[in-house]
Amino acid sequence: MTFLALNAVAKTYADGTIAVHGVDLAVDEGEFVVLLGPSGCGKTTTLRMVAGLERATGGSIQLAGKIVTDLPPSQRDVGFVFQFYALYPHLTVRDNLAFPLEAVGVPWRERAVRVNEVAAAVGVTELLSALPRQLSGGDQQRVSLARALIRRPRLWLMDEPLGTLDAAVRASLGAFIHEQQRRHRVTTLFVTHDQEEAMQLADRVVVMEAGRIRQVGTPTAIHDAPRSRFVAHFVGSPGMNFIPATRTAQGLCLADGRHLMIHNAASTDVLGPVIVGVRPQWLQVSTDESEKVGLVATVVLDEYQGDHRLLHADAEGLRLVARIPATQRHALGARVILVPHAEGIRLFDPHSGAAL
Amino acid sequence: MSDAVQSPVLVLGGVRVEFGRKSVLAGLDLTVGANELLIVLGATGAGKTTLLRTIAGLQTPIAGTVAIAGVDMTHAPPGLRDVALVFQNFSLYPGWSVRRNLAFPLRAPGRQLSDDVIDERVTWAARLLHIEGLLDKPAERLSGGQMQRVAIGRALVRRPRIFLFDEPLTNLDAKLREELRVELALLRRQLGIPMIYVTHDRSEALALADRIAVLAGGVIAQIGSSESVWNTPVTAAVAALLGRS
Amino acid sequence: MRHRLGWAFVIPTLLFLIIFNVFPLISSVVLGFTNSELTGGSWEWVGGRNFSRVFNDPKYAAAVRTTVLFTVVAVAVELALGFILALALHRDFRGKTAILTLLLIPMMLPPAVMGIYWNFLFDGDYGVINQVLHAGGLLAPPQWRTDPGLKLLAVVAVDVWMWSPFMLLISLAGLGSIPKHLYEAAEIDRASRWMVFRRITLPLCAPLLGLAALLRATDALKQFDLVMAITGPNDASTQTLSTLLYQVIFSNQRVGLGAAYACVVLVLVIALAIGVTRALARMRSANAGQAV
Repeated sequence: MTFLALNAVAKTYADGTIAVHGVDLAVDEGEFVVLLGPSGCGKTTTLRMVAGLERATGGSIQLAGKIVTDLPPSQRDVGFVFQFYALYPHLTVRDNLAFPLEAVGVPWRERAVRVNEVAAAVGVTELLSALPRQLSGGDQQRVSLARALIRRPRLWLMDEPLGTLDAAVRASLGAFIHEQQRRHRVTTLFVTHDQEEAMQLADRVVVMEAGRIRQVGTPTAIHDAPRSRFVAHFVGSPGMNFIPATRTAQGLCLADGRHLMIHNAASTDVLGPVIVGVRPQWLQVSTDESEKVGLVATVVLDEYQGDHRLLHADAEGLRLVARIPATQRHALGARVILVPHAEGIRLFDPHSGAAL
Repeated sequence: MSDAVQSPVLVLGGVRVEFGRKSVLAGLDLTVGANELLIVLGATGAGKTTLLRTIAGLQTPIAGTVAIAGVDMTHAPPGLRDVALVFQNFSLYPGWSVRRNLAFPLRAPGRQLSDDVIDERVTWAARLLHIEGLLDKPAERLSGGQMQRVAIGRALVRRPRIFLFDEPLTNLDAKLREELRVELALLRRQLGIPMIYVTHDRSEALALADRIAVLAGGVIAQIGSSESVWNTPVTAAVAALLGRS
Repeated sequence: MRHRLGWAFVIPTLLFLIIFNVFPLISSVVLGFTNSELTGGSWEWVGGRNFSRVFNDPKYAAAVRTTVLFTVVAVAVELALGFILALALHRDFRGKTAILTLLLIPMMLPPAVMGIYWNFLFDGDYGVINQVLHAGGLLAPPQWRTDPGLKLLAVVAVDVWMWSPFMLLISLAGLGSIPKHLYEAAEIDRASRWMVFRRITLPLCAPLLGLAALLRATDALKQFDLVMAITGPNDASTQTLSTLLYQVIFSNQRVGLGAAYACVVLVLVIALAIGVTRALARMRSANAGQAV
């Protein structure tokens, strides 16, 4: 059942800059949806319009069956987690947590009970008397989460809540948010530029670029069936490789006359020039000169990653990355042949960049 | 690469730094070789930034020595050390063009470089960092990634003896971080200048490092190649820093 | 070597402080124990006699009362007015800069000139204020410059007119330093406007406002020029410590006794100044805590 619906929601600033061009999105009750995109893509603006912190200049927002487009944040019943925590600096953790309860007139006896409850759930009980500035970044963000949780809002909005934290803290807090969301079944809209974070947390991912939604889908769908080159490159670490080729009846033919692939695995009958997309994990690196298919390239960089390696190679100006086992080593400058796995091949239109 | 460093450029011996009663560096020894890229890993508050500041001369140790290129520099001011520091929060002069921002360190008093030399250096750095097209743009109109390139370029033009990086990519988008990491790796092969690079990103650490030094308890708890630190972390804490829990 | 170089930089400042700050302080305290006069000539030690005169002088007690009353009322009204104005002006609108500039003019004018100018306004028969009141139907308008109960009020009014802009400026700085996202968080938390004001705006502005009030109070305790211009130094209902002091030293030419009076003012001002420094130190440590 749709709980939050955005219909052609747009934002144009007073100076004429368009931050969001008409976004349509339907979020089910209890769903965890992640807005993903590079900085400036309009994801934060969209989130802030849902919160009411930013006024939509077009379209409508429906929350739990009610149009809220022009309502102030206080009448939308949402919890918001800010990137920079936004804790009240002069109030103790206890008073910060009690603030939303005090605002809606919860009697102090019940306030105390609920503060203790939520503090225990979030693991900040021993910090209740501290001031925000005495806490680490991770703990401040925990308190901020607890504050967004305590009033039991119907919608959780999170603006890059993990963005400023250390890698280790980020991982553990991310898992924690996930668990809290599952436990309380709070519908959640979460903004990030980090695709790994998006993949770990989301039920569905919304990829945005230049103020528009480019694709909506489960993490698997976004990763395996990107609808455009942009999504294919943005999602995945590193993103998809792109190789210009010509599709013939015999297979995928490269500019130098070699074949990238003999038989066609892709799901289209279009013949002619295409862009072949292959994820790094679907590129095999071979040193066997007799290999008939594949792209000839020179190794330019070998990035050790512990459990694997990222091998960067150059094929006449075309830069490609292959993800290979950590034990497989190639010297810089070595000639290699990159052979794509048929299963991993995606085709894109060379002009529009859309998936074929 | 073993612990015996060939032709060391930087040697720290028994360096101690304290803030009030708190000991941050407790007799730290470290040797960095010519052309080496050393990653410094450590938990928040382990003293990574203090270590860089001590090398740069922004922090004077209460004991121990800092030697650069064989000369004792323990008490030398930053200006004499010929090291460049790139911060997490890149600050450019707004209103100035990229070109002027890049040339600024070369126009410092006492540097007496001719305009031709300055021009040549700026162009060289811009080409290495792929920002030739931006040279005449005002700094405030750049994107985050472009700004950080210019900030690195500003350190580059001086051709310092040592590069110090303090989480230079942390404030960038994840995707951009990935791209700049690759560019830094390619760049540093062309430069041949030793780099000390502080980060908490394990991909960055593993991918860039010739050696990884793990800072804990005010000393180097472990030092070795990416492979050796990854495969045989000396403590659980080191394993956790590399995301192996 | 470093230390010697350090001293070389410190010594000039130290000398300057001793010559211009410490020496006058000590000399005025010492003078308080003598019977020296303005015309010079011989003087001798009189011990604590000056001080016992000060404390037994009913004029002195009255001056302390007037000064404290003036300071408390003037600073409180300035603070309240400045803060309220700041709340009204703390948003972007056309002509804001012009309005601010106009509001700041009184602060920049010389107080003596202002006192004389206000005398015209306050004049019982011809003054603009009373003309307006008269036209408004008030048949017996207040005699600002002669009614003992109103004279101090007139001085307070001019002081408020002059110094509220200062409080306005400080308040605007305080309001401007509150991060916008705190207000956003409070909106999300469904706080009413009153609650936002009471729990966020006011407490976050308070340290700066307190500091401004302390600074203004140290100045108001030395109130001299407005009283001189509006009522003259010897008016019982407006005599402040500074005008009393002036009276003793320059009209009665009793420098020793005047110095004793001055010492007492000094103690008051120093007590407040210590308050200011403490408040500053507290603010600094709070900020330092934030940076870590």
